[in-house]
Amino acid sequence: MNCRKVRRLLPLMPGDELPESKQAAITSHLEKCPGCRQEYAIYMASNQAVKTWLDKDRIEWNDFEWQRVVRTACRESAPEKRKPGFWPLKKSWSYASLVGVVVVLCLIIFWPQFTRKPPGAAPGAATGTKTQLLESKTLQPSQEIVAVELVSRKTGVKIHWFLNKNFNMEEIE
Amino acid sequence: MKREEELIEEALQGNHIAFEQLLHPYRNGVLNMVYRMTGNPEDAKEICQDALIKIYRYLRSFKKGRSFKNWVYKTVVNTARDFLKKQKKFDLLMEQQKNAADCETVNPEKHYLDAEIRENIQNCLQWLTPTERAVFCLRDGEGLSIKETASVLGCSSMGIRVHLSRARNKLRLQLGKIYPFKKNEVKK
Repeated sequence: MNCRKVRRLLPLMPGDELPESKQAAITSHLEKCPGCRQEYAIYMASNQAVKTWLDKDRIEWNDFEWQRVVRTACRESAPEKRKPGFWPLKKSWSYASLVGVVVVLCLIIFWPQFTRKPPGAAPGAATGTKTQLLESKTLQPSQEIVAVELVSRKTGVKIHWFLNKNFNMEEIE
Repeated sequence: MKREEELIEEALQGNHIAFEQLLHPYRNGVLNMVYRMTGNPEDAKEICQDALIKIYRYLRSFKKGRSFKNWVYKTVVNTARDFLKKQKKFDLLMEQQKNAADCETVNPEKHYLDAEIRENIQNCLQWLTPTERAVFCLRDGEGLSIKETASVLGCSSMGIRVHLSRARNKLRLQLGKIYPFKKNEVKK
């Protein structure tokens, strides 16, 4: 420990606020350094002087005064009664219940979106109109079709399907 | 001597004697701590009165298992801080104290010595910030431990050490002005 560190910690030496290891290190430094030792003595003296003054300048309640103060305190206030809360449970249980209710509500609202089935065939292509696949091919089951364009011979209506699942294609004559 | 929990239960049922017994061990400690913070004995008693009213009113909210002593000191310190905020003028208190001291005529010599001591303490303490003063009064004035002081003031133990170190440093400097320490006179 150098003098700078020791002098920074000296104010805490009089009251034993430092851990034992630091106290030991400071004590060993003080044995070697007369300047720090002098400074430590001044801190001890000043702390003792202030404590002596504080002990001399103490005030006390006399018994009559104290009784009067206590009677006044009891008369002017009543112990606060526990107010009936909105929630009959303890505070921590109230928060836990609230979180549980919020989670259940979120599940009710958002669960159908996760379990929704993919959309079926478009109505125009399925109802009575004969359609023919343009450039239809016999595909392997492992292949994935991204998009299909259907054109009605009768009406010329074009239907674009964007798909993400495999399906078997048949030619319609 | 009944335990604190039993006295609290009785006080909550309206037993004023139990409330008085509950606070009896701390009555002079809190009074002197507030006296150090304000510098005026009459203000200190008024603040203690207000603090007692709050303690009695909110006694039900005191959680069992915690330190009642720390809770009492905390309430008193917060009441003192609110009072000082309203007052704002520490110099004004010094002046009032001086005028009050001038009115005493019991024992002139004792009165002079007491006034000198009081003035020296207040001269030194006025150089501390409110937090430093509170830490010093609790730790060195009333002998509370670092943990207790931290609990009362709502700081960490490290923060208390920092404030205490600064307070003692400032007091050492102020004392050096009142009673200059001569290097050769200071004994080991």
